[in-house]
Amino acid sequence: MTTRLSLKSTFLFLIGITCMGWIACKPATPPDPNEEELITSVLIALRDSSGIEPNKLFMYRDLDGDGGAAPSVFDTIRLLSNKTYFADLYFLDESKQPADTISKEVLAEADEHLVCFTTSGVSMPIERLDKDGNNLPLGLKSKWNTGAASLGTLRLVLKHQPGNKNGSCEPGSSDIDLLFPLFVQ
Amino acid sequence: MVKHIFVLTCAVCLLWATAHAQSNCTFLLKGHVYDSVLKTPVVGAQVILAGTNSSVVTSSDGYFEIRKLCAGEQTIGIKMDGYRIFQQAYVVPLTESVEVKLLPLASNLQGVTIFGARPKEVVEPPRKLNAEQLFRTQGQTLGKALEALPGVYNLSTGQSISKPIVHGLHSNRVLIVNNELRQESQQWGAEHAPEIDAFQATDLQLITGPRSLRYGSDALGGVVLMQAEPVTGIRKPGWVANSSFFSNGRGAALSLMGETVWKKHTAWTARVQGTLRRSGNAQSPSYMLGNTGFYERATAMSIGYKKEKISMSWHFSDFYTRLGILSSSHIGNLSDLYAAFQREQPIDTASFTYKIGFPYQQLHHQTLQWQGHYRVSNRSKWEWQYALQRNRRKEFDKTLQSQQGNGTIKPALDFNLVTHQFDVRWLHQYANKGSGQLGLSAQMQSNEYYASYLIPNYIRWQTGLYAIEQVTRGRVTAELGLRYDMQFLDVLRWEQQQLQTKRFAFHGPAVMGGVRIEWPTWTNYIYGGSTWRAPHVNEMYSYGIHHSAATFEMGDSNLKPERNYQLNWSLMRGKANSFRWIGTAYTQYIHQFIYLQPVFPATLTLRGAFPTFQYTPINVIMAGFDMQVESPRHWKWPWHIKSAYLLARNTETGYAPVGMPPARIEGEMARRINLPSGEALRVYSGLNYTFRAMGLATMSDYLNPPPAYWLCRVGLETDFHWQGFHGQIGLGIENLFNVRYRDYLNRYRYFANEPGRNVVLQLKTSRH
Repeated sequence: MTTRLSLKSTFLFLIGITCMGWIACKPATPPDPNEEELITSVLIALRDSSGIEPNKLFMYRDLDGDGGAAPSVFDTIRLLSNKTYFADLYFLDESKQPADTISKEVLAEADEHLVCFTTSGVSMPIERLDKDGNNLPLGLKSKWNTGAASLGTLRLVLKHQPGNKNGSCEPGSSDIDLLFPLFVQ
Repeated sequence: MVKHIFVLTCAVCLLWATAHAQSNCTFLLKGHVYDSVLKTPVVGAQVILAGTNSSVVTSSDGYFEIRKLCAGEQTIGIKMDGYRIFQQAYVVPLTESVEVKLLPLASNLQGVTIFGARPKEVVEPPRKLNAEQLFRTQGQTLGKALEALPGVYNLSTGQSISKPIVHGLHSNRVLIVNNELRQESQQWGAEHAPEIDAFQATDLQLITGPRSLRYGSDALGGVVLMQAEPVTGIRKPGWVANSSFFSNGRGAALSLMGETVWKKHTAWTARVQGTLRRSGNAQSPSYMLGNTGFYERATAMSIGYKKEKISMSWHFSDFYTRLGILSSSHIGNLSDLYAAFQREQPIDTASFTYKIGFPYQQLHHQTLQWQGHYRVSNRSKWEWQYALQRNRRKEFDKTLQSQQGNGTIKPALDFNLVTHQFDVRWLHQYANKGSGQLGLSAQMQSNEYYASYLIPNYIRWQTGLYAIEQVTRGRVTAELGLRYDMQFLDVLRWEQQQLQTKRFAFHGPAVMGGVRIEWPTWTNYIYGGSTWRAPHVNEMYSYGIHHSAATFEMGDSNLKPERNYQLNWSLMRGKANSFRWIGTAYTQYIHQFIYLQPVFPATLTLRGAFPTFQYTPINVIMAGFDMQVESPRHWKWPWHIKSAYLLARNTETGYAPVGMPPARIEGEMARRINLPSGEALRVYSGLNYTFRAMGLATMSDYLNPPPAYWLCRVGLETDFHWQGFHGQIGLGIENLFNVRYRDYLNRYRYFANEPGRNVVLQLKTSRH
């Protein structure tokens, strides 16, 4: 009899717990997505070597990250023909206040990253000016030589190459891959 | 006892006389030893030939054979703790195999569970690994081990992550039940392997019939049951040591199990088990597969108590693993993916190392379980269980975003899944050949994530009520299972900077029934029914980039449950000493099958455009055929052939859904050589042919299915007895010809070849 009683009470206890839980339990609060680090924006700051023209700024910006709303800014890069430009790249997380500069982290881990530029339809040699600790190119700073007036695209890729960086764009995974329209006037 | 000795002595004298009269001593006596109550094989029973010193021990399926017998009357005695001694004279030569039923001792019988201890197939054919298969697969992953069953394929992500795919269904549609407990982890992911130490199971089987309803109605594919010997059944101290060594990956697995009975209070029993597995990078025929090593550590502890009508057990298990992910399979975007396809071999050439780098998965699964049985009478019994499972899954990718201030890497994904499970059931037996069970199971599950969003936080309440009854009349056994489930799902997530709670309710009935008709040599099994599965939270809410597939995956919170209608027919021919033949034909229609379907346009992100897939209901019809022919295992040249074929079609498009297993045929032939010690050495060679997956729409996948391939294996294995130790030893070579191939259901097929030749050495020793 005692066994039976204890069985019954166990059962009631469990039912009680379940019912209480039913009322009280709520899923735990998920982490605030705003705290997550994100690359929202890519900035290309161009400086004209002759210094005649003002500096140019071109941008890609998608504040809510992957999916959701479409990128709010996706500029066409407009340059003058037969000029030399010096480019600085900035990767920002603008979903935070103040914005976080992620390109600093790329610089800190220069031996694992590589910026690759590919132009199509436009003849514009791009030379990376900065190097990592192993004397391999990085690409946050570069020199662009524009040629004749033409229309094409510039593909900007940030490769993450942990342990296999060899100066080529082949290895690794792409952290950034953007195709900017390019217009040389 | 004196009487036994007397009888034995008489028999010895008699035999002595006959033995001398006959010089032709080449005969064989073979048979199986069963428990007369449980009808299960008795393992490790000592079979003594009267008048000699020779004795053999029954193997794990209760089989024994005594060789070099002389013609005439021979007496054997069978001894096993907990059973009455058996003695019987046979006239040799005897062509058929003998079947011995051992009677459990009265004291023993009380505690023995007469029914329902393990689900036995009633209206479905047995799909179970035999002792040899189980031994050979020890040290491998669960998915790989189950591949020995017809109709089961292995869905893998490299060598270390694998899960079973049963008749084309997997993940949330195949339940894995370990020690009577539903394994609750993040099983929705195809690259999420069940966190289970395969060494702990001594019994591995698949059920798809009415009995599967006991574990849930969501098992559209089936239920994989893993069982260890019940801890309350331990009768004396013993231990088992298992070890495997693999040449490919230079891996090893070691497992130790010890069990005992308390000396002073024999009602108490205990078992501990520990396993370690480690492997480095695997080697494909022409290159090393970078970052494919793994490390695994599992411990388990069980305590049992059994007294008269009550028996209880407590289990605790802890499983930890770290699994390397092929570095070249982690890609940033679609152009990386296409570049990876173009390459003959992955760009990350690696050398051999045990070190696990990024990316990797780190899993920790803990289980606390309390089970109890209370026998009201010989015809009625209560069982209950409460279990707590905690599953922590962390996935590490090394990206810019994962760098933390203190230099460590923050996991890309980090989930904590806690599951409370409560089950109670009442088993009953009718006076006139029938039995049944009635049960209730309740589950509360909560998921919490700490890193990036992939699936939301949720709490899920699930309650199911079921009844499964069976009745036998003459040659016909009928079984009917009914289940009703109710599920509430509370989801909490951020939506446009706002925390949103949403509640979903799903409920529905499941029914399955069937008959078994026994003819003299053939048994017919026919069963069918309808079950359902509620959409899982990942199918409703996942949202983001899937790195290994370079896809953008989206859930749909408006999904409705999927429901199947199935019919299975199996024919089995099985006599003790003849071929065993099992053929199964099955068909299944799944209404609103939740399927990841491409949608347009592609999603534009900072990393480029991603092909986008959304969980969409489609209707699927599936039909298939499995076949298995086996010669008796004690033959001089034992062999078997197995084949599986499945046809699956989306009823709307007429094409096969992506990821259905291709047809496969497998055969093995062995030679049994009798060693002087009385053991048999088996030398085997096997062939496996996997067809190319067919019926897919063009462009439904990035790459066409890989071509068909042949694989060959050879090996030898034997039992041994030495100074009271009992053991098994095996040496095998898989992929003997180092064939380069890719498997359709391995996610790495996009990036790299399968591992090449692998030499496996296995050793199992035990003492009881």
